[in-house]
Amino acid sequence: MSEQLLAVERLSVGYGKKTVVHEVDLGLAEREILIVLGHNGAGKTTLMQAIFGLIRTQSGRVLYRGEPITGRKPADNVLGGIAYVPQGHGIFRSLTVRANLELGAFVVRDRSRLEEDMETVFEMFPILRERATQIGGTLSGGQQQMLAIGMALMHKPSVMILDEPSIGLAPNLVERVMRSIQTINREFGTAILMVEQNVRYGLPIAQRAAVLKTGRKVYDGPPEPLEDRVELMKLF
Amino acid sequence: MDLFLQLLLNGFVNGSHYALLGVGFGLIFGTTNIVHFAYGPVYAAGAYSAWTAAALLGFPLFLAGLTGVAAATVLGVASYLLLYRPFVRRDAPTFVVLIASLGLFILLENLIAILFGTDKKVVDGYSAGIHFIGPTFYTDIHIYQIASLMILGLALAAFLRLTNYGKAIQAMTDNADMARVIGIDTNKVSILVFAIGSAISAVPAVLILLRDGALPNMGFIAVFVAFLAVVVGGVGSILGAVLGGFLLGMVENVGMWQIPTEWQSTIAFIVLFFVLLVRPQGLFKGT
Amino acid sequence: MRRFLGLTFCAISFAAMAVGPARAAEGETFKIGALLGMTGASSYYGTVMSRGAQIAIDEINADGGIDGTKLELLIEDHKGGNAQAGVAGMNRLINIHDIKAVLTSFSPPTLAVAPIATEKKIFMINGGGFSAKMIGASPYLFHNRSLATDFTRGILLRAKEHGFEKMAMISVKTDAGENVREIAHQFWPELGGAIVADESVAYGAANMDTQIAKLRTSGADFIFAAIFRPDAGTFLKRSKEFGITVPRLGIEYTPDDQKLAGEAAAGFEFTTDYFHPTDDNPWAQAFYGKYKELFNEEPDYYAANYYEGVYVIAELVRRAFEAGIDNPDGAQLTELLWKEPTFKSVYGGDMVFQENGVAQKRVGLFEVQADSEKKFLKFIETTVPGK
Repeated sequence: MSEQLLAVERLSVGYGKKTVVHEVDLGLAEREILIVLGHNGAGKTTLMQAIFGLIRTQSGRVLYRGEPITGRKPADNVLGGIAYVPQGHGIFRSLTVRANLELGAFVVRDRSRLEEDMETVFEMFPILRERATQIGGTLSGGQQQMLAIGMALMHKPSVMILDEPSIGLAPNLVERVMRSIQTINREFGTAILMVEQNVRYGLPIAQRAAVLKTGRKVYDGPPEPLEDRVELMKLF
Repeated sequence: MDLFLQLLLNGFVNGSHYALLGVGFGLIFGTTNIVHFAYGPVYAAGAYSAWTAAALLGFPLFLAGLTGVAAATVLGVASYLLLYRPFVRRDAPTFVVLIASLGLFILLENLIAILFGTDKKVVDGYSAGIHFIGPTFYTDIHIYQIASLMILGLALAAFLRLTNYGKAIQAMTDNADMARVIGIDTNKVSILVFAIGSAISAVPAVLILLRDGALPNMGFIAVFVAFLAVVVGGVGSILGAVLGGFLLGMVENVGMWQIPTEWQSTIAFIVLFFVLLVRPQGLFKGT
Repeated sequence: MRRFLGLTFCAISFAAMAVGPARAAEGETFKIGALLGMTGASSYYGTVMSRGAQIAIDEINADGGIDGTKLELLIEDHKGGNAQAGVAGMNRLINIHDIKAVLTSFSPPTLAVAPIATEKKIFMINGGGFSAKMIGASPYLFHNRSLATDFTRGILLRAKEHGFEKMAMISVKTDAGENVREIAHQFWPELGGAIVADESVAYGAANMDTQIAKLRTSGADFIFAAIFRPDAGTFLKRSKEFGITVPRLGIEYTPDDQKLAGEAAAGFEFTTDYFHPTDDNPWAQAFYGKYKELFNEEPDYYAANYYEGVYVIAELVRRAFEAGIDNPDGAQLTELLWKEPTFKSVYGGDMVFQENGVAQKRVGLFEVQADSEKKFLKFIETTVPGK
């Protein structure tokens, strides 16, 4: 387990007396793409938020490069190289594309790399370069999602956690987004932990898959068997 | 025509006053989503502290003013740390925080009355120079009211645009959840806006102390007007608060040109309803 | 044995009856209620009124009370003139403390409790409110302060004396302010004058710039201000700042107003109750001295009226005891008042209660000097309107 970049050990997360995630184990290796599937309300988003430190955990722990980071402040996770792209293309709608990207690198002290990092994002998503001075809220849904991913890229993360990046997007855009994620993984070596409902476009790029059912992990292994709808339905 | 010009000047001066009050309140409300009614008595505390410094301790006016600003800042931050933050931490619904704020308002206002008495406090020996330009009159205080809006408004705009903390405030105002995700310490930012917002409110407070004297209930009208300015101008927009404040000032003064002054307060409300009917998000809320 | 007990019982009963029912107040206290504005924006009035009343109570008690009966003051708060709070306070005074005499203040709560006073036979004396609407509200309601009609008429007569014709007026939107405004609208034309401007401000309004601007451009000979503290001070200051040069006349100028307006008040003329302790009036001087010593402030006429009001009630209670009424109610106190409606006034000389329940006192005319201090000019007789 020491080769795991990000390790989740018997993590339980809940609100008050209610437990939503029950003792889940999860491991993400360097440069790996891991997709997390499950029915609505299975606890996928809650699990991601807990890993990143946005909500408190009830028990268990999270390790990053072997060091415990359970419940660490998001700011420290960002500085440590973990990025989070929340559900629903989270951006700052009243600010420009450029201002959004700058904010993505908010906690990075060394500002000299800012232009260089922004250039990297523009290379990946040329449409953002075109609309660099445009207000975020005026971009289309797909463009906003690219901006959200771009913001996460700004500090060259080692791990990127994405919560349903394809939600609300037209199929051709979904494909586009998935390809970008793959590119990020290949070119920058970023490990990807991705919650995704869209099995059709998500499974192909994953190296491993996990399935959550009512807060517990019921599958953890290669993604191929899950391409069989019948098998998949058994787990949901 | 004489009357109209005087009313126009009055509108501009009062508008500046309301605008600045709106800016302070709006900064707090826009960033933290807390309806900080206790903004009123914190404003009053600024005036009373300045009065204590000037009248009881013999400080020169400028220093007394700084004392007022310092006192309001401390009290504003304290109200966040001791009252609002525990509610925010527990994810309390907005109206619960609102009620807590009303409670704090009543507590502080009464505390001021108990500590200082209910008579009007004035700074003896201060007399504002009176001037006129053409047929219209104005005083030194009016100049300070306009000047303070310009200076503080521009300073705040620069701060928000150019400094790291300023950008953090903008981010949190836009989307507090995303702000947390990119690593902004929303607790620190909240403390910061409560400090700045309260400090800003103390400036009009001190000017009103010099112009009208201080009474324990002076905070009510201040937060009332600030709230109106922000709602009319659009929550989250500093420029909106400024324009909302000016609109109110103009309506109260120029609006009375041909209308009996009996209608003064009513008219302000009618305008508010009208604006909210036509554009509920406020005049300057973005997309 | 039974007969012995029976006889003893009868003997004791007879003895008890012979002594008579214990005077309700013998060795006990006669309670006087007070409905004052102790909290709220106008708590200034409640504070000074209660002080004046308490000094009187303490004085009378120190002197042995009324034939050995001590007086006690019980205060209820009507929160600055709130009618409902006044009614609630009155009910508490009657139901819990069985009060028969009440010092009241502010027109709205007084008007609200008047029917209760009539029904339950409670004697009331008002030394603060001055709305003429209170006249006749209850047969047991009396006033030892001049009412709005007297002040307004007084100052308008003064305006006439100056030879003014065109009046611009500014009034505050409260019961008192509106009352004065109505009277001015009626009386000034009667005197042959015209009203060229009629502005209103909300109570406690910070911004009266608009109204002042309109007053200035109205072309009037004088400005009549139906405004009270603390807005009176604001008006005086603001009017000077905005360049008003015509004379200003009004009906109130308290120390708070003086503090704020300072030199801007110079030239302001106003009518008010005239409590002047340096008259050849040892009683007033003693009161003035005691108040100053206790509170380090000068008593204004509100404090004086309530000091005086307690003495009126005490005098009536004394008359009741003398007449053999040990537990007088409001109706009896009223009857005793009409038997002899003349009372000593702390203002000097006597005051006589008129048919309408208002004690006739002259109103004083004052002018504010260059140093912001007020100076007494003369008394103005005003005809008091009958019921």
